[in-house]
Amino acid sequence: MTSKNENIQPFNIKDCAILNIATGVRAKNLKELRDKLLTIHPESILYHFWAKKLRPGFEEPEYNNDFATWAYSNLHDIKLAERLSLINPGTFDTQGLRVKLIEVVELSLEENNSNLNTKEGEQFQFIRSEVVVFDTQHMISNPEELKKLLPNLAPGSIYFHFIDSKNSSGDISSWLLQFGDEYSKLADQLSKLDPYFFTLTELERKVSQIFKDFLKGANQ
Amino acid sequence: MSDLLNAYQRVAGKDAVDHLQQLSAPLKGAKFVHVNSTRVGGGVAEILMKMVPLMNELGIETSWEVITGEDKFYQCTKSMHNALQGDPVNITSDLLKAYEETNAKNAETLRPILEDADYVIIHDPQPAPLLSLCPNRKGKWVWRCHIDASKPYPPVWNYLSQYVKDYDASFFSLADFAQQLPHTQYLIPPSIDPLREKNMELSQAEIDSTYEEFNLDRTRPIMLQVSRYDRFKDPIGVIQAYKLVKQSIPEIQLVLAGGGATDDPEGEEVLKEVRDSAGNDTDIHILLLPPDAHKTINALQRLSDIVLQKSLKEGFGLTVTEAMWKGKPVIGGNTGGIRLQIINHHTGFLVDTPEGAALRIQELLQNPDKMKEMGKQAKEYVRENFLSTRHLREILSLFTILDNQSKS
Repeated sequence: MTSKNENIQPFNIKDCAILNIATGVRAKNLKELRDKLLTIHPESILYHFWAKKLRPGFEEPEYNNDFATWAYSNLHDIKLAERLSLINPGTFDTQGLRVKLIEVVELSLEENNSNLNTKEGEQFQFIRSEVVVFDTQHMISNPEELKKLLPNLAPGSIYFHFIDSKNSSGDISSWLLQFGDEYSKLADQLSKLDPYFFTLTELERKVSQIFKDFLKGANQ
Repeated sequence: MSDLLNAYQRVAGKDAVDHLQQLSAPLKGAKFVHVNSTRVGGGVAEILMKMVPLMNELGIETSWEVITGEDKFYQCTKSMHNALQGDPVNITSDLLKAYEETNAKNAETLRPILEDADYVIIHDPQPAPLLSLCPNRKGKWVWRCHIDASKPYPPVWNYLSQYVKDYDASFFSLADFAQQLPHTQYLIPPSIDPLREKNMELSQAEIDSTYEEFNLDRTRPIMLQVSRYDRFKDPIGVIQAYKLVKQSIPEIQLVLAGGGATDDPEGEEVLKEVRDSAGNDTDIHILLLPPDAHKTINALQRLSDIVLQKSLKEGFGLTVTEAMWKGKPVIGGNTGGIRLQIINHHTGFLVDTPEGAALRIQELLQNPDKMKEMGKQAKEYVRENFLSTRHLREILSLFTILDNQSKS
C-alpha cells in the first residue's frame, strides 16, 4: 500500500445479534394476514424477510421469507408460497414491499386457494426485532486484509455489514473508495450484490470471490 | 480470562464469550437479582444454577432469591400454572389469599435487596406480585414467563396480569405465548448449560454403572423420557407408544425418569397413574430420582437410543435440548417450545399422538444411520442456538435496550 493509504482510518468489523420482540399481532388465515399487513409496523415486514438468516434454523430454507414458509407449512398452499418467496425486498422501498405482499395475498384470496384457518399454535405471528451490535476488535487496514479475514467472520458480521440495512454495505464501500478510484469497481460490485437469495455462508463466499477476483486483477 | 469463561469459550466459541463480555462491561458492579420459587427441580432452577455464577464471573453482582410458602401457596401457583397452560381451573379466593399473603410475607424479607437492585428478573407467576410490594424500587424489573401461556384460562390471566402489567418489560419463550400487556414483550428461548453435571461429557464407566444401577439391558434398545410426573408431560402417552412399539420390537425397554419439584403438589398422584398404566411390565422402568441426580440423568440420556418428550403443553422443554446436546434424536410433542427445538425430520420428529411417537421410534430403531445423522444435526443445532451463552446474551441485550430507552 502506498503512503497515501496510511492516512486512511482502519475499518472496524462489527458483529451483531437480533433480539426478537412480539408485536402481539397474529393472523390465523390468509384474510387476516392481508388485514394485518395493511397496518403492521414496517419493521415487522422487514423482519420477516431478513431476520430468518440470523434465527435458529437450518441454513437451506425451502422458502426465502417467513410469509412464504407460513403459506407452505401452515396453509399448505405451495402456489402462494412460491409467489411470496419470489418477492425480493431489495427491489422495493418499505411501503412498496407492503403493497406487493398484499397484492400477492389478495391474488390468492381471489383464487380462493387458502381460506382455511390454521390450528392453534400455527398462526402467523408478527415479530419485530432490535439489532444489538458488537465490536469484534478486528481493525482492517487495507482491502487485502479484509479479503483474508472474510472467511473467518461470524455470521453476525456478514449480516451486519452486508444485510442489516440498505446502507450497511455502504460503510465498506465508502471505506474502499478511500484507496483510490480503482476501488470504485470493487465497491460497485459489492453494492450490486443482492443478498436476499443467499444464506449467510453463501453470501460470505460471494463477497470473498468478488474480493479475490478484484484484488487478483489489481495485483497483475 | 477466568477458568470459567475459558471453559465456556471452549464449548460455545470465542465470539459467544466476547459478546457476553461486551454486554456486561457497562453493567459491571450493577446489582442484579433473579427471583423464583424453587432452588431445586424444574427448568427455572436448572437455568439459574449456572447462569447466576456466570453473571457474577462477568462482573455483574448477581444474586438468586427464592420465595417460600405453605401448601396452599403451592396449590394456588400450580393451579395458576395449569390455568396459564389452558386448563379451566377456578382458583378459590382462599388460595388466592394465600398467594397474596405469601408474597407479602416474602416481600418483608426481600424488599431491601429488591429495592436496591439495578435489575430484577421475576420468574413465572409465583413471585409476580413482588413488584407491587416494592414501591421504592429503583431498577428495571422484567417478568419472565417460562410457561406455555398461548391460551391461558382468561379469569386466571386477568388476575395475574394486574401484577404483571406494571413491569418494565416481559419475556416469553415463543411469540405464541405473548399476551396483551402494556409493555414490550421480548422473545427469548431458554437454554441448557453445557458445563453442568447434567450436560458435561461422561466416562464410559459412569454410563456403564448406570445400566447396572437401574438393571437396564445394554444389548436391547432403550427409549427414555425425563420429566416431572405431570399430566401435561403425557407419561401415559409415552407408555402407550412403548406398548405399540413393543408389538413389533419386543426387546424395547422404556425408562421414565422423573422427580418432583418442591413447588409441584400433583406429582405423587400422577406417579400413581403412571405405575398403574405400566402394570407389571418389567421392561418399563419408572424412576423417581432426587433433584440432584444430574449425573444420573446425563448418563440415562447418553445410554438411551431415543429420547422422548411427548408433552401436550410445554413452555420450552429443557430435556429436549439436553438430549439433543448428547447427540440423540428426540421425538417430541408438537407443542409450544418443543417446536422451536425439534426441526421436524432434521433433529428429530414432532408427533401429536402415541401412534405418531410409536411410528417414529420404529422408523429410527430400524435405521441406525438416520438416527446417528439426526443426532449429529441435533447437537450442532443446540450448540448454535440453545446454550446458556446465547440465553444470557439476549437477557443482557434486553436490559441494555431498556437502559438506552431510559437515557433517550
